[in-house]
Amino acid sequence: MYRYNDFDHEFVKSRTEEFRSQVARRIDGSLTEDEFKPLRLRNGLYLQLHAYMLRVAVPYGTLNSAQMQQLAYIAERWDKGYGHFTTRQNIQYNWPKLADIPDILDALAQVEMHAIQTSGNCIRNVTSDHFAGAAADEIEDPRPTAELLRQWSTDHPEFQYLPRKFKIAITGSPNDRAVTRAHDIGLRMVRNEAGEAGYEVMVGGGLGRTPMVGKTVRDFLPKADLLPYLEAILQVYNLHGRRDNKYKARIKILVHETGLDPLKADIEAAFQSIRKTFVHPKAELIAGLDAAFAPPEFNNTRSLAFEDAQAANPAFRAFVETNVAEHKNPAYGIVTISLKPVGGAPGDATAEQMRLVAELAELYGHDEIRVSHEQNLILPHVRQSDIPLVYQRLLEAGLATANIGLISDIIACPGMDYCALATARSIPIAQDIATHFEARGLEREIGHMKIKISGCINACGHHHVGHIGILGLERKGQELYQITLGGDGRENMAVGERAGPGFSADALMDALDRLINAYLTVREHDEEAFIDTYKRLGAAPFLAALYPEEADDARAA
Amino acid sequence: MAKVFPPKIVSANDLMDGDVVYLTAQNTWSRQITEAVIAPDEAAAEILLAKGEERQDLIVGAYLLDVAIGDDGAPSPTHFREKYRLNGPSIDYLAPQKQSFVAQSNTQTTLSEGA
Ligand code: HEM
Ligand code: SF4
Repeated sequence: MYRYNDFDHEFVKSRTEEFRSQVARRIDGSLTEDEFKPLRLRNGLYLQLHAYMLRVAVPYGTLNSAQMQQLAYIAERWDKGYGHFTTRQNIQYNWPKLADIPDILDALAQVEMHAIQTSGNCIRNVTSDHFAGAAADEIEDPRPTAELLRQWSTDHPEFQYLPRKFKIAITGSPNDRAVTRAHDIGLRMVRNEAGEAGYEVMVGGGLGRTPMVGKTVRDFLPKADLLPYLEAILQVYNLHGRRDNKYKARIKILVHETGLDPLKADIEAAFQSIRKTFVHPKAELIAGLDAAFAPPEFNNTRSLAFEDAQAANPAFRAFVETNVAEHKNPAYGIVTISLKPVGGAPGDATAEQMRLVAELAELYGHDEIRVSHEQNLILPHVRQSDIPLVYQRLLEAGLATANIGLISDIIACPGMDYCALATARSIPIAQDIATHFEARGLEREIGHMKIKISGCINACGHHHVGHIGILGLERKGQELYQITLGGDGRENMAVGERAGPGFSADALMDALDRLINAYLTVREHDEEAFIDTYKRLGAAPFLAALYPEEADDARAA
Repeated sequence: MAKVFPPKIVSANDLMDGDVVYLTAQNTWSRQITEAVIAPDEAAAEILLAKGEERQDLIVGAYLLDVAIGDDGAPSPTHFREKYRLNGPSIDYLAPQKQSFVAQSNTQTTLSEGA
């Protein structure tokens, strides 16, 4: 794991000190809210409906157990005993008090964490594959590159006043688990014909009110060219990105308005000139980053405990089926800890639960924890023969929900239960769906399914890439839920298509029931996932199920 | 027909903890909506909002919201967003905590308190 150097420590410390004095000046009245707001946002502090919210960066989703312990401590000491893990691989505290924020930031700095660049028009926390460093399908661990990008972008003078926020995601696997095509820049590791590792570079993806699929500007970029090339993209964006209209300021609009080929030419031209004078990071720095993310020393001794436990305990077998993924070391498994207990708020974890995860990581997981954009936690390196013990402990803490990738593993943004921008609630919808399909006993039969819910057009809940996406809106003083179908967040990303008129919260569950029933009827076989059935048949059978009256009318006509 | 002016009150968030607060007739901020001062017409609403904006050192983001007046004379918000603001999150957000606390005491984990 990457450890802060003196520069990092000093930088975070000075930022915390600076913010401490800014908070003090806001409290004593010498700063107005208009003056203070941009300062607090630069430090991850938002105001929501009922309280402040502090957004803490978890760079590329990687935590060690001491950091998780500290997150638990902060939740208990300064919040209401829980935190919310988000689609940006961050953790948000929902109830901190203004006067306590500097102390919280100090507590974070003690474990090499902070809330810098979690907000504002800068390069945000770089997100990554949550299985990074462990996945069987990985070409290389993307985190040394992600850390390099963090260092390069943090406080970079040219990138503090971009036209708009800027998000980078990176995956080291050909199978994209980091939704890279939905980011301003997406990087996907690939090999060229010579077998060298490099990046496919995608630009202009994004969700929000104008969802767009990132377009490939380079099929293969050698690793060594990455920084000058990204600098070229940012230079083009900084020069030509629109600053006149907030809604048109993201790079996706520039890509769209300029057209891919002219933009590619601009980037290449900028790249050719930048690379001439570009000062590459020193070889020691790169080697240091590679060493910081070197795999742990695996213990390859095996027993039959894993197999025996599966044979003896059907509940454990079910857990393994959904929550344990293939590790690159055959003696190991990747354990996903679901933060989606049926009926709970997706992504919430209590201080006790965080402590347990920290303890399990320390005892059985080489001290490593990951946060996924799907709002779950991961123990990336667990020896298979230890997984039964880990499962037992998770079970006792209410953390062994065996639903990863199933219909109740829902992404939901905070929505109107917390968020000041929301037009409708999203968490209760997620709770209702999970509870409903659990009660119908259909979860395993439905199989692989991604439902994603946002409480407004900003799309923080990724609804555009949900197999079933749900967007909460307001109409005539009531919450209204619009369904999109066929979204897909993987390497072949697709934006879901709007099905038709929205549903009231009351009518939504029946509509989803009809939709799921239709899928179970028309799928080719039990293994065909909803998204595959949708791709094979198109929207028609699903629209007929969602809007039966219209289908009847059409038949009558 | 002239449009009926819905009565309004002024709300904001408390500077220190973000709590939802309402402007009172005494020009103070209260956490009780029952203590909110009601503007019956547009002119009164403008004056109230200006008053609300005076104490920037106490609150953040004063604004007007529509209310209905109950039989007891107390205001209640008409829009669902303001209802959630008034009543807090509609979900039982502390529930899992209690549940895991029980689990924790059963397993007797002893862990350091962090730093
Ligand atoms: C105080 C709460 C929040 C505020 C004010 C907020 C604000 C916004 C806004 C304004 C956008 C639209 C950006 C654009 O289209 O240019 C956005 C997008 C997004 N936010 Fe949030 N958000 C909040 C909470 C969250 C949470 C909890 C998550 C993670 C669960 C999140 C993750 C995202 C993602 C993934 C996007 C879409 C990706 C993109 O930028 O295109 N946000 N947010
Ligand atoms: S999608 Fe809207 S409601 Fe949900 S967190 Fe983002 S801004 Fe808030």
